[in-house]
Amino acid sequence: MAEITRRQAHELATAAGIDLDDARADAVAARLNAVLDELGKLPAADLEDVEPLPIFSAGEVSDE
Amino acid sequence: MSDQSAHALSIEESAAALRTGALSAVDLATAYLDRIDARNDHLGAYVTVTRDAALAQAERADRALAAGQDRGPLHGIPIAVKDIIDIRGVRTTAGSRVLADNVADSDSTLTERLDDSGSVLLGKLNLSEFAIGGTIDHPYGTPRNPWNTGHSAGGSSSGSGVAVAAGLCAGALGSDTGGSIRGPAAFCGIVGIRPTYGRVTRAGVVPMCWSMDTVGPMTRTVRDCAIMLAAIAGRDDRDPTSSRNPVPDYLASIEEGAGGLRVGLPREMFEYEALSAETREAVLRAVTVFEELGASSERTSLPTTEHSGAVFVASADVDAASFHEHWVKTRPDDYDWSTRIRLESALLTPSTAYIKAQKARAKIRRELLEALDSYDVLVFPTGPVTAPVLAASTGGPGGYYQGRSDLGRRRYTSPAALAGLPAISLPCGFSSAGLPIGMQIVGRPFDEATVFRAARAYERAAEWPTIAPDIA
Repeated sequence: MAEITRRQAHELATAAGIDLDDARADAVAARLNAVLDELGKLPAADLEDVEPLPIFSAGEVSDE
Repeated sequence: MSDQSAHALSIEESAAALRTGALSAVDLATAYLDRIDARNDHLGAYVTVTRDAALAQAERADRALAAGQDRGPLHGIPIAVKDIIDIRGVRTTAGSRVLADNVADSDSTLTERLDDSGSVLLGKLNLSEFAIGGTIDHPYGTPRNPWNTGHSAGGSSSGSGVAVAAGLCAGALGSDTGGSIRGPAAFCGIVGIRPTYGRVTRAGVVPMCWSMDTVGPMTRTVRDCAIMLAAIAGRDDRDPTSSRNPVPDYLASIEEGAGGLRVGLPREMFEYEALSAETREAVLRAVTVFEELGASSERTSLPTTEHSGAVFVASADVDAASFHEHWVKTRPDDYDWSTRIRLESALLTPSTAYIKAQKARAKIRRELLEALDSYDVLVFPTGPVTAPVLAASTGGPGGYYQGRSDLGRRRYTSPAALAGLPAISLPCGFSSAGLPIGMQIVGRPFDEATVFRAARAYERAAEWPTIAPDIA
């Protein structure tokens, strides 16, 4: 996956209404790159049949 | 009994002393309050000390006991809570300048339950900002590890870990979204349990991640931990995610020993390249103790947990960012640099990454539940290393909470959080530098009883609970 650059971090932040200086843009880009890179290591085939449901079958937790 | 040594008693020992008359609740509260006065400036455990309210509660506890009204094992016991838990009339800062003037207008259910149990609330405990972890500049004092005050107490329930380890309260409540009870418990050499998601109410608690936030006790012994959990667990109509599952009597089975327990040892947690040799050896020695006590152990595999740090961050941080978005945009300078970077990063995380994390989360949960079909508990280190020095323990550049190494070490505490499972951390030794090493025991959903049973079996066979930090 292509790395997010400082410039792209600035562009994303502007679109989201966040004001980043260069130091924070670098830190945000580094953090996003680390997370996206690690998620990219998950084989897509392993997740193909998995529903993105985070929680928990009925009976364990109230279904209200 | 000397009031000067009262702080060293376990909750159970204190309860016994209150009933024999060796101590009064006021004696006990005063002993803790005096220690807080003398040590908190240096240790940074408390944000707010509620001295007058605590002494009034202690007087009521004494009068009630004298009148034969015994509310149980926490009656008259000095407890403190992480400063994300509301106490009516007391400010809840969440460790942030953002909430510096936020005075709670009602009690959390947890506060009500502790009050119903007769416990004495000493105050509100310091934490990483908004329970997120990695804080560089703590606005209410830097929490310091009582075993070596140049080292981190962990996060985010850092003040809870410090206060329990240093004898500044008999027990504490922390919260654990992705390891915030277990990490500080391991670093500070105490016991802390993340209960099953839904076991404990979160009404009146500042949220981080709705689907992973849990509140749990931090104590000096396993039995004390079980006593505190029993006092706060159970359905709460104010929290729709709280479970109706009945709360068992944890002490009824806690001394049954480890005989017959099947212990799974996930190889991903023992073969991680950043796991320190001392930590690995300490936990494997503890596994030997389990075997000597009649348990069996076997290697197993949880392959997707290798990525669980990123899965956690892409899930929990995005949830947190949705809570914080308004303040991040309107009061950004009131956040710590590290917290702000995490939240800003989360606000920019692609939705496809979030969904992929949710799928991986479901897969991780499935892997853990399948392993727990074969094993009663899973055992592995609470973290790969002991407490880092304070300067290296932040989310700043190169810090413990920053970058790829942060995602890697999260593999130890993220899986139970992602899967909503109960997990306890308890001491299992010390490093050559004299810092505590934590062992983690993970159990099936709502089976805290077996987790406590295993932890207590090890604790009874080990010497660690008798060793305290040298805080005069």
